[in-house]
Amino acid sequence: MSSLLSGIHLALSALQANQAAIEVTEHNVANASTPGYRRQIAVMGTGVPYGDSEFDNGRTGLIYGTGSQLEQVRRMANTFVDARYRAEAGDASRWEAQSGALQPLEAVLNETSTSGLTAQLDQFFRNWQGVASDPQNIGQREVLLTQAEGLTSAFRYRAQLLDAARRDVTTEISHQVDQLNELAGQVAALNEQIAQQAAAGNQPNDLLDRRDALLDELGTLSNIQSFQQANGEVLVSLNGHVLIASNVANKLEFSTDPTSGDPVISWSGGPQVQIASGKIAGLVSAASQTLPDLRSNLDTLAHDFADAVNDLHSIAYGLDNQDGRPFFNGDSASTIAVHPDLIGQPRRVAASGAVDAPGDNSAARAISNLSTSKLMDGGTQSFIQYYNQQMTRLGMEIKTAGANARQHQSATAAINQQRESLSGVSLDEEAANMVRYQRSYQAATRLMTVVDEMLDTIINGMGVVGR
Amino acid sequence: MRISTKMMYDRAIDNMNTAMERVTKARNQASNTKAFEYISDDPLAATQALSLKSTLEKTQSHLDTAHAVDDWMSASELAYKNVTESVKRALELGTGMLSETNGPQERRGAAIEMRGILDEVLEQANSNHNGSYLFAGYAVTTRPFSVVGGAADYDGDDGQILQDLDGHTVQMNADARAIFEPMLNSLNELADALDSNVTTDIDTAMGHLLSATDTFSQARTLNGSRQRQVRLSISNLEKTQLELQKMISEKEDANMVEALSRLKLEETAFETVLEVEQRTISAMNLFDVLR
Repeated sequence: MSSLLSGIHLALSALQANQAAIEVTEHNVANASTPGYRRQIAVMGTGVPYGDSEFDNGRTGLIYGTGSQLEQVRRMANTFVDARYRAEAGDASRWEAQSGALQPLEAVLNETSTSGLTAQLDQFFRNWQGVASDPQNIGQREVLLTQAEGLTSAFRYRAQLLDAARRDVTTEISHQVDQLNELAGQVAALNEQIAQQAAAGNQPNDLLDRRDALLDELGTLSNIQSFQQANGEVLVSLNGHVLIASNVANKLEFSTDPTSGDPVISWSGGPQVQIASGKIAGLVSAASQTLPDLRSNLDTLAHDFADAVNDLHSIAYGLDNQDGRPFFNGDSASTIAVHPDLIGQPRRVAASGAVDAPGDNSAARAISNLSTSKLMDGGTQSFIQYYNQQMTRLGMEIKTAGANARQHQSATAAINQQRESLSGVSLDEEAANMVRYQRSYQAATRLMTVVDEMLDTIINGMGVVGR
Repeated sequence: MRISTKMMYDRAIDNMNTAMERVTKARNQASNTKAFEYISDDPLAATQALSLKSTLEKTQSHLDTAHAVDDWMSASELAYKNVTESVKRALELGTGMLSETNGPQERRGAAIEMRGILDEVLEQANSNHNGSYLFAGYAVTTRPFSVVGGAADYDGDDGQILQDLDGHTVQMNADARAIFEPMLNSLNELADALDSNVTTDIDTAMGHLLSATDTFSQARTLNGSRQRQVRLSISNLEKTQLELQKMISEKEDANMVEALSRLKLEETAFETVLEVEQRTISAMNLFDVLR
């Protein structure tokens, strides 16, 4: 049989349950704008009922409820959506990083302007044509030499730029690998805390939020995959190799290949790892493919260009009737320069094909005609076409990376909306919940008052006749 | 779909950022007046523009050369013209002196005049253009012709100065030795013949002078023909230049009417987005309504 005292207990359970539910609502409202916070819902349940023993003599016993209790504070998260989010965010970061590494380069190279290398190569050949039309003209030769110095300076500048860009990107990769290790360490530490809390029967929702935020960040750096474990820990793998297991995070190491200068990421004391997605992948692509290719092709252009001009110049004669002088020094983009013998010596510019023939412009014409000679890329392109192709490739790569980044950003945003829809806090919803729990609390206090009055009647009102 | 509070704010911020990006891009294009700033903005158009610019540069280069060649040929034509007039006088003089009515005194006088004409022609043969001798082959710094001991002496060479114009090569100079040596020798021969007062010698010398004049006329005609070809090239190159500039402009330059319209559109859209999103951001929620 039930008793008035059990009624107090019932009311008390309702008060406590609703009070706890309000606290959950308060927590949600307080963290409505907290990045990475997953809303929590109070899952109410009934208390364990008990039977009335007085009816045990073969008759069906009445079952009495024991009120309500907060059974669980459920965290609204979906690991599948989280995994998809991290995959898309990783791809978006990869393309953003690649585009971001290359775009500043395009701005500085400024090839569409008159200071671009293409324009300078055009001017160089035009100046040779000018010498050819008047080989005697010292002024024209001086213009040629001055502009040629500018051209070689442009080559060297671009070589420096590309080298500096590669260095910067490589340094950034090193920083991001450090960051990845740091994040992995934090996730491992959280794994331990969460496992301990779960073992004690607690629900470490805020720790789970923090861990998910760290995993999101890891997902933007690399192509991690996470697997929830029964004890609350998460196992994180990278390219099939364990990155985080329980409270242990395996470290990645960064180095550069001594020969190629390519960035190398490997497991500490282990094999190399090819990161396929995330910011690190984008930076590695820029540092190990795009930038070295550009640099190498620039060197090839400088080398072949200088060789072609020198081959013609060295067998030609200057106004001083001397031959055998190369026009350029150096054999790469970083070393090409106008030969020091020619600097300030316009008469030594070899335009003539014969000695004592100052009007002979055959060498100057031949050098000028190099502008259209197909000497690059297996005899299919001129110098200018070859360089334009490199710049076009760079432009296309930046454009493609940007387009891919936008595409994956859209997908990431869409999935994030799904996540938010499930896990985000709606103030309207929380306000309604608050009212609900508040009213339940108020009703419970009323109930308590009723039981109190009933008890008062019994305690203070019964057995007083004749007193 | 359940909308959380953060979703609303995030979406509002995203929309404003996107609208701002579009406005900024439209403003840049309108103020730069360029359809693209970097190759990545429009790789195809940028590549084509770069290629066209190279072609334009080459065209300009050929045009400069063509003008230089035209100047050279004009200077040559002037020399040819002056020589032609001088030789015409020499022929008149020689023809007149063939008559037996002219005695040794008249013929000696004619010889003096003839030597004067020889000097004029020699001067023309050594014409100079911008510091280079026109009729010296490659040896443009060497005075090509002199008359030594009654014979023309050529100190130049037989070099043919070629220039590349758009798609073809033109010889700028003439075969000076073949043009002027016979001319100078025959003038000198005629002067000597007049001095000697021998009619047959005068007649022979006149024959040589006529032959030299034919050769000279052919050279002058050839120069004229080549110069016409060069001027035609100049005309074509100038047309090509204009066409290339137009094509480059079509690729590179923004359509300003379109750019300004787009700017106006994006600015209007941005203002609308701001208006809408400020309502979203300042929207009330249930907490504001509940007592």
